[in-house]
Amino acid sequence: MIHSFHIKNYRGFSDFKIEPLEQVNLIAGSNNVGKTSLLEGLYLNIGPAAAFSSNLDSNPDESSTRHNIFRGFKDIGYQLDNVVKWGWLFYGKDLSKNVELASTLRDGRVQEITMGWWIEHKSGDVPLTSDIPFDDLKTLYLKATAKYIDGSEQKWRIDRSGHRLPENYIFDSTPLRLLFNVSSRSPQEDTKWFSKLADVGREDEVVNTLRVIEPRLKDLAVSTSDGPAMIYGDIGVGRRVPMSQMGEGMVRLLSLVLEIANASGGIVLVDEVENGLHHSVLTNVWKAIRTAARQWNTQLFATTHSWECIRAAHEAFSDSGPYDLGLHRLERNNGDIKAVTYDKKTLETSVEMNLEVR
Amino acid sequence: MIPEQLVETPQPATPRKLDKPKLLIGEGKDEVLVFEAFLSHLGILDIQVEDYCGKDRLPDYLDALSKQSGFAQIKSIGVTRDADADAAGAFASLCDHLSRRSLVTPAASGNVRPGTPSVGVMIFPDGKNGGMLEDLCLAALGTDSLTKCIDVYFNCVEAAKNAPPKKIAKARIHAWLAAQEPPDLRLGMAAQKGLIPWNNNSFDQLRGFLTAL
Repeated sequence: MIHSFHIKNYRGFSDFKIEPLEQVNLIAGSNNVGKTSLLEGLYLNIGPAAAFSSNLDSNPDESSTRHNIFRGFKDIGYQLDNVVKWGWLFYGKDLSKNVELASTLRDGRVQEITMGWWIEHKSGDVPLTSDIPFDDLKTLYLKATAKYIDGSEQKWRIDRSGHRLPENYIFDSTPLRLLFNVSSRSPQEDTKWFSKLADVGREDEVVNTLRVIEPRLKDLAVSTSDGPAMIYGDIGVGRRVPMSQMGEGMVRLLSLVLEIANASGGIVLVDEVENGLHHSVLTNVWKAIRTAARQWNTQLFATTHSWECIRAAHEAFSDSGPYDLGLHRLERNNGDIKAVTYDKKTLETSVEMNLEVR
Repeated sequence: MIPEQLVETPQPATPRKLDKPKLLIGEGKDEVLVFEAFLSHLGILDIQVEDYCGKDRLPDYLDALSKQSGFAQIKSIGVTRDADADAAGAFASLCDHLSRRSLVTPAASGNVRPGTPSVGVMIFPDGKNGGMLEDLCLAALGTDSLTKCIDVYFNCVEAAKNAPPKKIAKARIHAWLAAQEPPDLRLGMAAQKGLIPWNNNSFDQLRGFLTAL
């Protein structure tokens, strides 16, 4: 479980820290303040092997393993044919300062990712600094270094010829799932992740979680009787009903729960969590998310623009058990982005007095 | 269609935003309406008025306020409350709440101390005597033709009950409000309707406070 996250020189963040982080974290803030960049930074920190070595990923069909997917680029590529594409990642596009992304777990262990630009020299490569002019991209390369929580380390090099994989490749140890583009999510994707859980006999846990909002649900099963494999639910009306027929809210919640379940012990990043959910169902949806996150010990980071969504989450987490919800609003102050973190008491007051928190 | 069992959250109200550079806070809704009416009379447009739901909720409100979206842009804050029985005690209590939250505190009621943000405190009715906002309004209504009627009425009430009302200023204001048209106005609405004589000297201290904020 990540307790704090520190960002230096990354996109719009000069020197940014967010803490304490809870099991479920809502990220609010105005447009273009850095909410998606924060998710992206977390992604790079938690899953550097996936981010920098996607062709070695165990699921190569998942284009989401590249960080630029957050921006809608599915295939930016690793070639340094356009420095600007990678220059976006650096604060103020200043390529002379290293990007540093550090997550600190509750037990104090740290995972750190650094990215910096280097220039090849016969006498030994040197880091790019503001006073070293370079006019030949052939000599420039990006070096990314991951220092894992167990003390191990690996490095990637990205240059004009592509990216060179590190020796002794280390896979990311923390499960990581993303859910951001709801409209493009297919029922087959949910079916795949449900089947993974069913393979290890944990499908009933998904059913139990969904019962928080659909008490009639008896079980879920994958069927191909009507065509492609899909998830069907038994709600006691005779024939099983395709999940896609149970309404957008149920489908969205199923996707969320499946991501949480499949990232057990790890992290789920969700962009605009309220998408597809009517405000009237939000409290129950958050109860289900709360139940799932605790059950699978998954930490969730979700951006939102919705006041209703924040209120509903607060109500759901106040309802039972520990209040393991954090609200963090990103805001610009004198040009820098900082996080304003609400605890239970201040969020409770804000909800009761109807004070703007976004 | 949304399954019936999913629906339980009512449509929430739009949250209150901070969108002016200065903030004036009062104990309740009546204070908000009175202050807004007086600010409008004075032509002061850059002060936002909010309430903190009673003096017992002031600490919670200040904690939430410091995190509220837009707080970093606030240049000055005016905090008001009733003296009740003890003006000095009310001032000290209010300043204690402010300083615990690293806000500057003024030397006396009616003053504004520069800071980031600047902070002013106003204890009603006058920073010295016990009482409340209603006392200030009653003072301003001193020459109102209804005053004699209200005196007669409460003399009668006191004789009948062998005791005056516990909150005499609030009771007298309600008697005055009952004589207005319509007769069921609250003080705040009466202020919004222009029934309070803002030019009365009784409002000089509050006028100075709001101007200095």
